[in-house]
Amino acid sequence: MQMPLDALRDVSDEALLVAFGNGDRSAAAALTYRLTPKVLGYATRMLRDRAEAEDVAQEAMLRLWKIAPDWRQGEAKVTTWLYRVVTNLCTDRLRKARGTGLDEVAEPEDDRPSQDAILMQRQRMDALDQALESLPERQRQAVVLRHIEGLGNPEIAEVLDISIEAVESLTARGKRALAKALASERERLGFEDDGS
Amino acid sequence: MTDRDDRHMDQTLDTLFAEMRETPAVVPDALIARILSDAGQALDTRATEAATLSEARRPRGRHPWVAAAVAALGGWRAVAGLATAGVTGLAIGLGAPGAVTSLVAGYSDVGYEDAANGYGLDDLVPSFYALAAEG
Repeated sequence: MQMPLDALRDVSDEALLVAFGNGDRSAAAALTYRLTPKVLGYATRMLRDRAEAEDVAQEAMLRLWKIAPDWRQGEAKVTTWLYRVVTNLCTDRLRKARGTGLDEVAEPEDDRPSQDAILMQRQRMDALDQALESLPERQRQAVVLRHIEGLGNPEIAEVLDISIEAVESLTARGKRALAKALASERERLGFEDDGS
Repeated sequence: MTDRDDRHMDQTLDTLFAEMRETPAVVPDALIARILSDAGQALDTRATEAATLSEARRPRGRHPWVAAAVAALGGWRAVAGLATAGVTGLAIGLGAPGAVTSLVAGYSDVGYEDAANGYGLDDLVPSFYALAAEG
């Protein structure tokens, strides 16, 4: 049975995945629109290469379609499973690409109007991206999952296949390293001492 | 860094994280189309595999003229009965021809001269005369 997308808004990811496993194409559309932005955003932050991130997002979603008929309900969250797949795919690509200079990594394109506020936000995002880039891979994964994707420590532990204590340690060290990297940039990025 | 600097830096990071969190990734339509195409192909592949499996598991049909002959004879039960009767008749025919022919020769052959070669009552019931004498 095919359901309109609006009707599926309140349906859980897992229920949609099971529906897709039973042949419902509209469930695939709902999952695609719901999960692809998360997957693509995380992959982009990990790889800093839009084309590679899109490939990873497509591959991760393809794996989701393939596992759908065998999905065991109640064992893991769909998003946790997806973040884990994206983490592994990104790790593989980063290891293969190791040796490629940062100068060769394309900057994302942006053709929005160059208003001051947008420019400033863009500068801030670039600065954070670059600071994240300077972190060791596991620290970067933990910090992004915790502070940008908004996952809890137990879920991150599941995604990265490490203990919760290790997650806490990675995020704390990562945040300290980011603070150090961005300390000299605060003024340029428009931050005053009141923390704005 | 002093505690004050630390606090300011924490606030800076929290602001940056929040801004990044609130900036959703723009997903190109082409990527959505590729992902949905993959989903459709996955469904089609599964449907094809299921159909192949179902066909392989389906019992193979009998030849039409065998089915027609069985139906004409009244179904498989009738055919089974017919086969049983046929085998039984064959067994009887092959198994005891001598006894049947001698009994038939004793009583069915007509004619006075042949009666002497036939069976008497005591041949068939040996104790008949002894029982008759005793009364």
